[in-house]
Amino acid sequence: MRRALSSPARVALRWLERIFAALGRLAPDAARDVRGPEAAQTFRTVCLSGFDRRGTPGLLWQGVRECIDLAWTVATVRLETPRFTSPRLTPLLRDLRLAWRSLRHARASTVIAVSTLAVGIGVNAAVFSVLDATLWRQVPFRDADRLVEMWSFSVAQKITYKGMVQRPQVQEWRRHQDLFERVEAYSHETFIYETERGAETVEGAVVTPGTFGLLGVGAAKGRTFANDEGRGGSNRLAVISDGFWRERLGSPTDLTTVSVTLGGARYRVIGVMPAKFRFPTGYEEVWTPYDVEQPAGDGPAPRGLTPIARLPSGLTLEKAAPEVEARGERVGTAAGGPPGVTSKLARPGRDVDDRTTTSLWVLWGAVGFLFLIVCANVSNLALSRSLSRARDLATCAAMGASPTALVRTTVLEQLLVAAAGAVAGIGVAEAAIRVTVAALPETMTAETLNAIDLDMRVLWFMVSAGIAAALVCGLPPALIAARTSIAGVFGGDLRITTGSRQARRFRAVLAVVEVAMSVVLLVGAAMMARSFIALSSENQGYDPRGLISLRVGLPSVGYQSMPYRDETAADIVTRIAALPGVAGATVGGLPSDMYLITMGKVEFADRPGDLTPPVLMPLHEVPANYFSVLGIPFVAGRSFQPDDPEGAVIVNQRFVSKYFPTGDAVGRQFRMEGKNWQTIVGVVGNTLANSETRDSRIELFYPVGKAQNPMRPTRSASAVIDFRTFLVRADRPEEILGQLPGAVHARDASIVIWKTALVEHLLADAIARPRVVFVMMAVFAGFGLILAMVGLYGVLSCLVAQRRQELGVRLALGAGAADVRWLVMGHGLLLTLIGAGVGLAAAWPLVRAMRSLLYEVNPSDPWALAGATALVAGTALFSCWWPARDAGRISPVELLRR
Amino acid sequence: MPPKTRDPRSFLPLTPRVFHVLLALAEKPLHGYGVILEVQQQTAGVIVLRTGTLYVLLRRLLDQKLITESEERAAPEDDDERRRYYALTELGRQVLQAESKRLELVLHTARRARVLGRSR
Repeated sequence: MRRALSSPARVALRWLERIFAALGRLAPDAARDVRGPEAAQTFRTVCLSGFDRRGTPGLLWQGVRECIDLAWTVATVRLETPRFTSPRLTPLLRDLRLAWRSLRHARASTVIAVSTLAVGIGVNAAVFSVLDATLWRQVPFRDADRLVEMWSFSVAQKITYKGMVQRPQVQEWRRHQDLFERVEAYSHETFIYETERGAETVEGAVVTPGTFGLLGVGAAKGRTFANDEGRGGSNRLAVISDGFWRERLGSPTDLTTVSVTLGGARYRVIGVMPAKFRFPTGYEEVWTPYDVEQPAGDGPAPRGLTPIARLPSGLTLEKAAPEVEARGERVGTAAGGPPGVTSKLARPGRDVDDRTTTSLWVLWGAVGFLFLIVCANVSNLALSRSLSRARDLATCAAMGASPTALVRTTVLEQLLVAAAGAVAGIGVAEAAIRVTVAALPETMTAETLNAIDLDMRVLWFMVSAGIAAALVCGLPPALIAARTSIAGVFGGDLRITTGSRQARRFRAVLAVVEVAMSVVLLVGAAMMARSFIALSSENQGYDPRGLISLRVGLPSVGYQSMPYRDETAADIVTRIAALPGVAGATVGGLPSDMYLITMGKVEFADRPGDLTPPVLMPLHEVPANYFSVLGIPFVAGRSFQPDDPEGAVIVNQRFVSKYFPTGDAVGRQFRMEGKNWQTIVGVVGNTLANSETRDSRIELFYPVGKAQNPMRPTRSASAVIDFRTFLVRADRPEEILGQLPGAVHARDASIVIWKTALVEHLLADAIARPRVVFVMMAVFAGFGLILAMVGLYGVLSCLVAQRRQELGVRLALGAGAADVRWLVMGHGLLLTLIGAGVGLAAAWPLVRAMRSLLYEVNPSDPWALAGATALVAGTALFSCWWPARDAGRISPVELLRR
Repeated sequence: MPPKTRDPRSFLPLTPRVFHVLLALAEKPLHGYGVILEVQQQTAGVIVLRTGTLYVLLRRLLDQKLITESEERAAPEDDDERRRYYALTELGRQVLQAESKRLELVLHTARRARVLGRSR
């Protein structure tokens, strides 16, 4: 008696019967019985028998196999219908069926060929999609070719910068309608988003209300700003990103009741942007309106704007740019801007760092070389398959098949492999793009306005290229196999299955190509590895171990007075220093932070009247213990003391080597043009300003509150008026991290905790870009090396099989096993040597392209080149050893007996 | 004029599946699932007929008049009204005999060549 079905089994059976019925409906008349009730009943009985044997898994297994068989049967019967049995199509379909059968018999090599092709296509598509989104694809906005941004250009200092245009300038540019059809503007803003859980920072932008209209992007839910919003009474509105809506608000469907608290004020949410919308970078999640014509008195007032405009139809950026530059200074000064500053046009979303561009190109070059290895591997496998069917092909030739027909069969096999690889490649591309985007640091992906995803044009291009490459690579093996000698087949010639001289040479060429390409990848990876190791071990100029950076925002309410801010900071330092486990605490930010700056010409007391050219110098206001907490050594002089005169300053070695190259700087005086004299009381060692480029710069250090009118990024009407960065040294910093907000809030709960991080983690993030390039190149190089060694192993295995008799005779005549082994290995090492030579030459253009990414590594670095070559040689020895060992074990007696 | 019957030898050689389906129906009429079980038993599990393949095969054999639907059914308590039973036609029986003789000859040749040991 049949046992009762479990609930999962009943559900599974129901679904399987539905699938079976659906497939049956596709059957043509010649197979109409599969649609009938008897077939359905038989199917059910078969599935139940599976359940009787092995329970629900048995039922599922049986049912799935039955459905696959039905699908195959329906397809086969359909192909036999008159539509598919024309005189032209029948031979093709017959050959396709033969090709399919042949591939099924050589499952291992087919799976390897399809897998490697899928990886090659998928990874190429993913990396190319990132390149395309970052560098070439037009921004996804209306009339993208006419959209421009206006940046500021200092004529004297030859510096271009953005985000410093004032409101009146935007109004002024709007009057120049011969140059701009429409002008809007935006400014980056970091909002303090307050929730029940506490306050957190959210990146956003303040935009003129017509900005979304200019871009031609509407809200996915709700609406964007109307043209009259952003004025007093209508500026407490917000448009949010899809991510904000989902992750922070829980995807509410009714927006009419949704509001968010930003900087202590409630903003009504009126719209949610589409998921892929990015503007003005990939970081922004909230947008609020700002009307430049009638700004509201409250709400975020941008300290500077970036105008974005649409050129009139017919006017290109190249034609408009000189005119904008010519009018820029006049427009700026008419609107109250500084003299000597004009405007330059730029494409939005093209503000991509040069190092990011180079990194992406290098990565794409690397996957390109990997794809060449994949193609060589696919060709090698095609040759193996063809030669294993040499007898069949020779028999067909003996029975009258033309060479074209023989070639067609092999090409069709390759077409099936290419098609399967392309289909699988689509899946690999989807996975690869997710991994690539997750692996790339935000600094590389946030700069573009295009969503980083798999572009369909790119995917289809790579799929087509992959199929074409596989077919092209499959043609030589097809031609070689088609020339199989009929006499050889019937004469029992061993070379029939292992390949003629042509086949041997072709295999050897493929092995050389694979070795060469893997050497290229290894050289690139070795260069990046040495560069990354040098970057990681470089002395920062201070000791980052055990150091915590705590950045806080001081609210505008209650902190208008600068002395009060300094007093608050000093108090917080005392509180933090009192925490158990804290070895030292100070305030002033890391030396690489550029928060305060001073600009102008410098005059020295020992050469009065001799002013330097204008210079920009970062400066820091720090307490006396700053240098000891950070571990910055004094080269000369001392730290600040309470009885120091007014104007005491500490400079770094870079300042001294530039302005006092021959003498001691301590005690010397200098001043910025128009300011008071300052006296150098100490000289400290240089610190790194940029972890990736390892640049150091001039740094000035003043006692807290004593810097002379530095330029600081204060905001007149924002929730956060100023920032302070505390630095805390502890033996166990992870244990201290959680206590720091409490120490801050013990002074004032309204102070916003902006960011807390271990300095070592910040430094690691700073070199994330070279790390990612190094890791990805190492992965590609490893994969390429494996494929190359598999190819080399294949060549030598064939060589041993072909020359088996000869080697047996040598052994019989007295040659030692070691001699035979060296004969084989010598052949393999010769191929490796040739491949390595070609690879080193081919690596030169890649390494030259990488030059800007390398730190303290010469493009002709001998260690990297030697290391890559040694790795290839060592791996080749390993690959060659096994066929050589087989050769040494040949028994002449057994060979003669055969 | 009686209808012209096809020469049974024109169907040879039979594919293994067709041979075993005809062999399964040699003794008595069977329904679809019964054919599956019988073939599995005959071949010790080497040939497993799936539902889709079976019914396409049965349709072809019906069209070639090697089998026909049979009125003979199992006892009602063991039967299902959806089932159809199939039986060999005379032509089908002749084709089965012809193929069996061909296979017997092949077996004899294999024995002579000592593939299976000494010839008897």
